[in-house]
Amino acid sequence: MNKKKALKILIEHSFLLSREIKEKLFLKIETMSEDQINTLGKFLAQEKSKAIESFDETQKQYEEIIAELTSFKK
Amino acid sequence: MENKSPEIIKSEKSNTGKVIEFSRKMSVLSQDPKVKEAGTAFIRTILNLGVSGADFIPGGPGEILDVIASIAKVVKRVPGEKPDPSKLSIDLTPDVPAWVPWLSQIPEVVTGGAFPSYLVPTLVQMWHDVPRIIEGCNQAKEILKEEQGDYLANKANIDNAIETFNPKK
Repeated sequence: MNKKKALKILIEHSFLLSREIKEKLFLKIETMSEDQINTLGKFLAQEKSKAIESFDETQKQYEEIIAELTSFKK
Repeated sequence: MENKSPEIIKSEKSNTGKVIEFSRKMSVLSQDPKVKEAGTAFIRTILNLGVSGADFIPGGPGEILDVIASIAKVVKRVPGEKPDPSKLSIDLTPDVPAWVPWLSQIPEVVTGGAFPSYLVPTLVQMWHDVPRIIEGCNQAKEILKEEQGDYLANKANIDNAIETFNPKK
């Protein structure tokens, strides 16, 4: 897969970026230098990898916090 | 050049990952108003518990913090206007009426500072903040579920894009 296409996919499926920022980045991709594409691509790829790895753990952490706070409220 | 053992390099990579994951969570979640409010409520709870903890020591620094917090509450309040609990301000107990911290000073005076008076407004504020934190956590869970669903629906494309920038060795 070429890097511009890969970057578009990572931007599209990022939960880190707001819709407004995504739209601005889509417009800029064609004029970005290779270095800029690599830097942003690596960051978004690492961020997404970490998110994928920790989905279940993060959900579990939220459930634990909710359970503790609910017992405090009772 | 500094030589690093494989264990140190592995640990540094793991820490970087944790920082990125933490930043990601904060940025994602702060875009949602309910989660943002929960974050504010959480920070406020930590600060209030800190002041209350310090207030347990008679004549300690907690007494000063307690009085500062009570004064800040009166100074920050605009008559007839309810403070916004979704924003973090110097008033750490925005849902608590101004008379509560002052009234709770009475047993502190009677007991010679032994009674941790700030615990009263802290507990009243927590009564309001805990449901906010629970609601925010539930909302955060929904956001994560949505992200997981998006990933599963587009797994091949996303995995290929990740591989393009972070090839597996």
